[in-house]
This record gives sequence, structure tokens and C-alpha cells, in this order.
Amino acid sequence: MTTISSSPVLSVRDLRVSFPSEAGRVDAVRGVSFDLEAGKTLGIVGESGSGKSVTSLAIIGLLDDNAKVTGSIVFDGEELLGKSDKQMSMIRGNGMTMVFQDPLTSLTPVFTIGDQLIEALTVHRNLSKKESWDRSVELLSLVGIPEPEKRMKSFPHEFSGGMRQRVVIAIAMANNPKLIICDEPTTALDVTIQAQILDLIEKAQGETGAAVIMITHDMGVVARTADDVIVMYAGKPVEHAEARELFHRTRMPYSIGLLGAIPRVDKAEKQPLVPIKGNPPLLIDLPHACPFADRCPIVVDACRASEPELLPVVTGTDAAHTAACFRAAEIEDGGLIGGLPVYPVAEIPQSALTLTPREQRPVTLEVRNLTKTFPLMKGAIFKRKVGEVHAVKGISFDVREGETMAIVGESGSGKTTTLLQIMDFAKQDDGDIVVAGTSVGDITSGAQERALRRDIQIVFQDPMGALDPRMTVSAIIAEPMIAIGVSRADAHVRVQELMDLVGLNPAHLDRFPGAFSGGQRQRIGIARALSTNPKIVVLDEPVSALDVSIQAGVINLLDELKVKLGLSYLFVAHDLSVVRHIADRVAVMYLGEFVEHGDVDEVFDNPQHPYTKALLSAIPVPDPDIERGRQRIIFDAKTMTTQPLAS
Amino acid sequence: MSSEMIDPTLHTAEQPAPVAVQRKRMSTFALYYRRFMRNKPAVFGVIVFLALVLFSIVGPLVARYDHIYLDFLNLGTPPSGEHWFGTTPAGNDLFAQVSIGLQRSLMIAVTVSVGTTALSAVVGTAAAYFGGRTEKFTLLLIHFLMVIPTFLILALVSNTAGGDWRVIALALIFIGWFFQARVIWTMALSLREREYVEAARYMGVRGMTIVMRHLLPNIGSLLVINFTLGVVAAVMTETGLSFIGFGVKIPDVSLGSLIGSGANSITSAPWLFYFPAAALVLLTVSMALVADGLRDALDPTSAAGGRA
Repeated sequence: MTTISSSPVLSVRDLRVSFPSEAGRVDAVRGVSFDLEAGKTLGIVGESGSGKSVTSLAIIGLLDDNAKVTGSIVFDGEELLGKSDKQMSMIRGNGMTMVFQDPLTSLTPVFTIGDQLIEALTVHRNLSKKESWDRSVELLSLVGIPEPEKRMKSFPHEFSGGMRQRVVIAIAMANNPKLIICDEPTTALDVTIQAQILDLIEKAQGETGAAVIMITHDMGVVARTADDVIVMYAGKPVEHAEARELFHRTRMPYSIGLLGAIPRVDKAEKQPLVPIKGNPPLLIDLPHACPFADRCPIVVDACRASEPELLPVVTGTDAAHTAACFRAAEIEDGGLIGGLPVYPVAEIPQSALTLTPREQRPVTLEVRNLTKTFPLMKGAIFKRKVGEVHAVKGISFDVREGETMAIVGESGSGKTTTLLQIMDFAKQDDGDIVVAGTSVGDITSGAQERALRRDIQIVFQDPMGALDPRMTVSAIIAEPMIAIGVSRADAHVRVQELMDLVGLNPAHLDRFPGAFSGGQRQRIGIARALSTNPKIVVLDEPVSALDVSIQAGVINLLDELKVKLGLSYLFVAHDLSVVRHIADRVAVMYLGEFVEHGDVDEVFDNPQHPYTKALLSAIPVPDPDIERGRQRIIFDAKTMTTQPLAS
Repeated sequence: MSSEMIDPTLHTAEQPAPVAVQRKRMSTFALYYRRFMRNKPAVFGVIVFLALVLFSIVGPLVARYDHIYLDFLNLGTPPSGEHWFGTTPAGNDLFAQVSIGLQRSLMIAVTVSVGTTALSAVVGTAAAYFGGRTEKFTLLLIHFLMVIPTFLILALVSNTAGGDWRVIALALIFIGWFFQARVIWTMALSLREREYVEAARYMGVRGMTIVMRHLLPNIGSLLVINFTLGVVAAVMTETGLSFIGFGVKIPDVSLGSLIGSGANSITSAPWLFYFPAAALVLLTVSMALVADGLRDALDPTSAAGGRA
């Protein structure tokens, strides 16, 4: 990480990419310039559609033929634009490699990983069979695959997602590249695996001395890995600075908003997050104005007259710092302008309920000794049971009025199964589920079950999949009310109230879900869940599919509704930062059991179980000083103990 | 700021409450209608189809001769002022025959197509949604029906019934529904796993309501295509039956029997083939155009009519 050569490995100047589309020309990237030196990491952050992935694809030359690319990309002294696909193939996988987002699809399922590694090696170099085999084994052990000799003959499906991403990184490292482009390398992975993969990328960088472009939407990942950071918005870099400088002396309102929108896992304060209003613009026929103007809280007339250039700003340090904002000079450290915050946030109102001690509030959901087993079947025609998988092993908890109970865990921990068991009102052999005072064991008729459904409603993860695309918003929100026998006229009035309540324009009620953005769709889902006046709302990863700035708005809405309506939430999530922000109580789930369960601040500030400790240490914090000084803890599943990561 | 400074007492009369209905809610069908009308070929298809329907109803009324009247002075004459579409070798007026035949064919085709589409859609989606024993039994029945030589049964039934078009239509529904039901079952399997179906279940919506409200509309475009192809297929099957002598029997006529007999004299009396064949082509083409327009109008994700 210390080798600094005078000439950069990669030098991009005024890169522009546009695509033709039916609606007009899409300007996906509109002038990106940067230099990247060997051994350095450049973080490119932005929300979906900001042009960060298109930039990386333009560099590696994998864009569609119909894309129009202009500007200049100089890699290792060679101009890449204008090279034919065949010439680019000589560079790709050799001097420049890429790690993609989804490890499940970036390996070919029909070849062993050994074959794929050897192919990566031999396609660019003349190696004998023996040499390439040995080098492959060496690479596998380098990326931390146990028993590499044996695993060479394994197929991709025999590996877990994290292991596959390790193999992908091994392939990327195979030819000692000078540049590794990582496009959201950890988005599809669990946090503990994410931490390991980020460490591994750092290691790969150390081994090969390569420069790394880290593309991500996660400010925590950037804080941890990047030396330089570019924040992109609407296809254009809006702020570019060294990492510490950017995080501590932010000068562009969009970057300030992005940082304020992320809940922090290391802070207990319950302050509303910063939602950036509106949605990113479509990249077709952009007006000659700042593309962020419509969403910016400190917009002035000049912002609408012309688009600001990316210009150097003076921040009191000698670090290079550029920002594209007319008012960048007025903005002070900590997101303040003229002594006031750029994004004024309303306080979360306190309700009478939160003042009542927990023990005195009524229980809205009680779960005792919930168990779920799946039978293991064998045999082709006559299936016989050969064993059971215990997905949930006897968990108990209660949720009281006005509080949020969160269940966190990584994939496969059984948190979704728990939730489905509750929603299915599954009768338990040796336990019980009690919803608002009614035990599911007492349900004997369909009518009773439907009556109980009024009290418990669910919001799903995927805002698109949970709304019937063929029904209008009005029909979607009214559906639970119609199901419990509310008249259509009453339901129609209530739909308008609800749309107003969740921050949607009631005039849009005859539109289809496809006409709404992700955040708005999630609001429709919340309105639907609230329509029957439930006592408890089950939230299944309600914000994990949304961009951070949109996510903040939905989290604030949930906070506000809880206080306004006295709701209880059962919140299932894998994102501990969100849980810390929204939950009152938390249970950490691991292999079908609660390993730790209690008050949210107690669990997060003073974790007792080794798994919780490891989980908390794995979450990247969006602050480079804290993030780089932290000691990471690794959890050993065999002995159920932790140890500090050897560095 | 000025709007907040206005004295509220002066303006309460004109200002409606913010939550009150600001405009009439547009019904789903009004929306579909507007999107359908945007598709010009589809509107053309509707016009052609309506013209055919009109012809089949009004034709027999304005025809100079009854379709069973035999004009012994004009045996196998080409189109003329007397007989607009010419006559058959037996002396039947072809104009009257085509309009009656079209009427008969339309009735059979639409009945059969509505019947098979509705039956297959409900059975297929219900089997997929309810799963378990319902699904097993339904699939068993479908697979059993698939191995039976159904065309023979159809021929037997229609022959015994003496060519009654209603019996033929019922028999056609019986032999037509299960292949479609099998396809719809496969499509509905993936719909069953969608979150909005799960969401509806967790709201306490009844099973059959979920099938009707969430599953059927989401295979709507498939059903529309099935319906159109069903019309075409029913006309074809009926033509085939009539051709081999098991279909609609004289004195009743259908497009199928007319085309069948016209095909024999295509060189000597081409009008006997071309008029009924043209009616058939117009019918199938117009149905295809209508189907295309319907699919775009009903499908919110379709690019052609995507706007609200």
C-alpha cells in the first residue's frame, strides 16, 4: 500500500457514455475524470442509476455495442477507447480484472472451479498443465479456501456464496493485474462474510500491488477501504476528495444527505435520519441546471440556471477536494450552513406509551417455545422420512404495545421461518403464539382466523413483488378492509386518509404500482398493512431493497407511525444499523436459536454472546477514523468462541 | 408564504378539505378502455369483428332468398344482381348461406372459446393455488383425459346428436379445456409463490377470492391469447368435423361446411370457396388484432400502453 509511482495506472478524462433508448438518448455518464495510482483504492459511491457501474464497464470495455463512449481512458500508458474487442480481451483478465456483485452467477456452473482458474491463467500465458495447476492451488489457499487441492475438483454449487466470491477474487488475482474493479462485491453477502471478503480484497491488493476501484452504495464499505472517494449523482461526480476529507469536511448537499441518511450501528441516539426528498432524475434530456436542484434543501436561483462545475473548494486542509455546488464555499464542517444544518430534521414525537414502563403495557404478541422442523425425505417414488432439519429451535419472546422488537440474523438463521410461522398462525405442539390476547391454538374456524388477521398485518421486503401489478393502488390498499367486511364506500374514504398518512398524493389512487418508485411502493405496502388498524405490524426486511436516501424516509415514516398510532412492530432484518435505529428490543438469531435477547442499547453496547460480538464488529461504520482503527473479531462456529483477527 | 397568510375565514367556502375526493375516481375499466382505444389496429379489428357480427345478424334479413330455398333457374351461377354471392350447384343462395353459416360458426366458436378458457383458467389456477390433494386429483384427471382419443368421442357424440350445434359446442369444450388447464397450472405455480398472493392470504382473503382477484388477472394476457386462438381453433375443428361429415348437417350450414363443399369446386365455381373463406379470414384476423390490443391494454408492464 506504500508504493507510490509518479504516473497513474489509470487515468480517466471526461468520460461520457450515452445509450439510445425509445424515450430518447440516456446520458448515463456525463463527464468523469480521475487518476488512480498503483496500490491505491478509489471508492465510487452513488445510488442506483447514478452511473457508477456504467463507468466501470466503460473502463473494462464490456459495454453494449450501442453505447456511445467519448473522452479518454488511459490504462498503463495505453489509450483504451477505440480498441477493438479482441485487443481489449488481451487486457481484460490480464492487466485489468473485475469482481462482480453476484458470486452465484459469475462462475460457470458446469465447470469445476479448478478448470475455471486454469482457464483464467492459461488464456493469457503459456503455462504447462502442471504449472497452472500448482498456481491455481496456490491462489485458492491464498484466498482462504481450506483443502485447496481437493476443492479444485469441486463445482461452484458445492461452495457457499462467500466461498464463491473468494474463488472469483482468486480468478481476478490470477495474472497479477494492475487494476481490480470491484462492482458491489459484497452486496449479496452477509455482514460477517462481507468483512472477510473486504479483508481479502485488501490482501489481494497487497499481494499484487494493484489499484482497486471499489464501486458500492454503502458508505461504510467506502470508509473502510477507499483512499479517494468519488460521489456520483445523475451520471456526474458531485464530490471528489480523499476519504477522511470527504467524510469529515463534506461540501456537497447530496453527499451530506447520503451520510446523514445512514443509521449508525455505533451510536445510540434516536434522532430522525435525513431523508432526501424526491427521486433521482431520469437521465434523458436533462435540463441545463443542477440535477440535484429539485431535491436540494438549500437550492438558490443559480442552481436552476446552469449546472455547477466540479471545482476545488478550500476546506482549511491542503488535501485536494472538489465539489459541484454553487454554495460549496458557504457549507461548513458537519453539514452546517450559516450555523444551521443543511437538512433540518423534525424531532421524533414522544408518545404517552413510551413514558409508561414496559411491564405495564399490554402484550400484543407473545411467542412461546416456537419450533419448526422440516422433514428430510429420501427415495424416488416412495418418499420416506430419514431425519429432520430444525429451522427454529424453541424460541420465546413477547412484544408490547408501542415497541419495536427486532430479530436480526444472517441468511439461514431461521428468522424468516419464525416470521412465517407466526403469520401462518402455525399451531405448536409444545408452545403457543398469542396475537392480541387470542391464542392460535384456539382457532377452530376460518372466520375466527380472518377476524384475528385484522390485528396482525405484514409488510414485505420486495416493494414490487408484494403489490399485485394488475390492481390500482386504491384496490391494493382497500383489499384487507374488503376482506374483513368493510363497505366499499368506507374503504374508499379510508384509502385516501391512509395515502395522506404515509405521504402519498391521494390523487394518485387510480394508478398502478408500476408507476411508482421503490420508496413509494413500500409506502403503499405500509398503507395496506395499516388499513385494518392492526395492533402489530410484522416488517420483513422492509427497507433492504431501497436506496439509502429513500430508506431513511421510510424508516422515519415507520418511527412516526409507531408513535402516532401506538403500533407494535416485529421487525426482521439483517442490517444491524437499521435495527439499532428503529428497535427498542432486539433478539440475535443464530442457527434457529436466540443467542442474545434484550434491550437494544444493552445488546449493542455490551454484547455478551460471542456471535453477537463478531456480528457487531463486522459492520462497517461510515467514518474512516473509527472504521480503520477497529479490532475485528472472528467467530468460530465449532467452539462458539471468538478471537481477534490476526493481522 | 403568502398562501398561509390568507385570512381563513374568507376562503373556507371555496377551499375543499385536503382529503376530500378531488376528482372522480376513474374505474379500472375506463382506464383499460382508454388504453385500448390508443391502439389503432385493435380498434380496426373491433370494427371488422362488429361488421361481421352485424352481417351475420342482418344478412339473413336482407337476403332475397332463404338459405334453404332452392332456385332451380339459377344452378351454380356466379355472383349477380339476383344472387349477390352466386348460387350453389343445388340452387342455394350463397349470400344467405354465408351469413347464416357465419352466425352459426360465430356462435359455436365464441361459446366454445369462452367455455374452454373459463373452465381451464379456473381449474388450472385453483389447482395450483390450493395444492395438496386438489392439485394431485386435478392433474390425475387432466393426464387421464390427455390419453383418451377425444376426437373419436367428439365425432360419435355429434353424430348421435344429429349435428345439433349446441351439442357440438359442448363436446368441443369438453375436449378443449384440459390442455390449456395444464399450461395455466404451470404458469400459476410461479404466481402462487408471489408475495402479493402471500400478502392477500395474510390479510385473511378467502382462497377462491385470491384465485379470482390475484391469480386470474395476472395470467390475463395468456387467457386473452387463449381465447382468440380458441375461436380460431374451434372454427377449424368444426370445419374438420363438417368436412368429414360429422359436423353441422344440412339444412343447417356453417362456415366449415361451406368451405368444405366449396373446396371441391374451386376451379369450376371459385365463388363458392372464396366468399366463406374470406369471412373466415376476416374473423380470425380481426380476433388476432383485438387480442393484441387487449393484451397491451390489460398488461400494465407492456411497453405499448404503459402509461396510465
